[in-house]
Amino acid sequence: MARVIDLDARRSALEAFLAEACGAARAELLGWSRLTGGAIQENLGLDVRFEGGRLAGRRALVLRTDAPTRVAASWDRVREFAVLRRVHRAGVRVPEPVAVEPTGTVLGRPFAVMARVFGETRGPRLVRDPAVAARGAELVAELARELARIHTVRPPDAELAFLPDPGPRPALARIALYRRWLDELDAAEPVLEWALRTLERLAPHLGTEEVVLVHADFRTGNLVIRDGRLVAVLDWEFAAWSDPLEDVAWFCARYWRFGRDAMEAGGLGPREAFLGAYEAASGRRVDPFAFLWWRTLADVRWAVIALQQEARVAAGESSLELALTGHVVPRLERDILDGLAELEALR
Amino acid sequence: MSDPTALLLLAAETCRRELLPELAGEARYHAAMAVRAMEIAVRLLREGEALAEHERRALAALYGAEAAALDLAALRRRLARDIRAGRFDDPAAARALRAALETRTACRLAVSWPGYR
Repeated sequence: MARVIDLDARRSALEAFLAEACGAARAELLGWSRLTGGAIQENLGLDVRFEGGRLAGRRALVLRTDAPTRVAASWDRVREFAVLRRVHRAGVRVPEPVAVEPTGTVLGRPFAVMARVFGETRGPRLVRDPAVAARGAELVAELARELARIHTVRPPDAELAFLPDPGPRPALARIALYRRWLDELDAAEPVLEWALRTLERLAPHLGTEEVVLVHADFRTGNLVIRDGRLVAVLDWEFAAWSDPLEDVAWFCARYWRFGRDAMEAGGLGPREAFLGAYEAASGRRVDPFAFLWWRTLADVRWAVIALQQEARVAAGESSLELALTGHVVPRLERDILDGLAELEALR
Repeated sequence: MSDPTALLLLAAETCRRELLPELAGEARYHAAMAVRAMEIAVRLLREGEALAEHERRALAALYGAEAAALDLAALRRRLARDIRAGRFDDPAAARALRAALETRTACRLAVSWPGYR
């Protein structure tokens, strides 16, 4: 599949774009490489020398473009860049936003450019990393404070006007959204339907809901970590206005612990350290019932996205990775049924 | 050897034993996925039909005699619609549903992720 852009063929156009975007007299592309290609987007590493301008000198950058097919719910690179710029200004640790090209004239498709950050993102590596094990509680507290900072961004926000308004009950808005996704897939999934119905019936017990900016994929795998410390939060393509607990719970879903189940905060550290630091930094109390409610909904959401990815294979995309993603659904169903039983008992 | 399932299983075992230890990085990741896919295919060939029938019976039992002949896809569709409409909300119906869903998930785990609990 011809996914990779050939930057050599577009070198001068890219150099001219980067120079102008950064106020440089000249930008020279010294080298480039394909970094981890996601199922949703592709990332190229750029080695660029700027003459003058705000990035004068030699810079390691990342260029992100959209893959030919995307998960329905994800923002394109241009909108993701708007989120990145906004949270960068809010002081969130992210790769510094550099430039965005929305028209597609430079490379044949839109793209965004940001600073390249260095560290480990891969979950299976991180949960076995001795540096992480040595300061797990401190690391997850650091992550919780970062999450609290993300949640300081509130609607309305002129730069983020494209994010849909969930209304006063974001929990119910999410349930409606996942039902719509199931309908779009024409999927008949009784366990997921039962979960959505039960969560809907239990929603009145959630108490106060809030609406803030959520990352909506804040989890081990999307965090750059080096020497047991957070370097940057990546992958803002699912950003949304929603309840802050959505992010808190998503991070703690069993699936994202990569087998290190006892470390409930992302496989990296204990849940108490994560929730305690989040409460202290955000001034919110994390209600155990609401936390479990959102964690169960997290499993449902990931299951529906897994079904969407599997459907791409049925639609003709040749990817073993996507085909196998469908087989995580029964695991998530197991976790969902356990979560529902626990919720009913807590009520 | 003419049994296609046994042949596939042997291929998976050989890849796991002889190939995986020799590989690193991306290549190892892709080979591990291929092994996993072959193992799922073996379980589907061996038990897929019986497990689907087991699931079908569990779901059909929620509806009584008129649903006994429905196929699994039709049952799932009907059940999904009824659940969303609140037809399993009352506690007795919910208990029966829960038991059927436990069976369904166990059947599917047996193919996709045996041993997960």
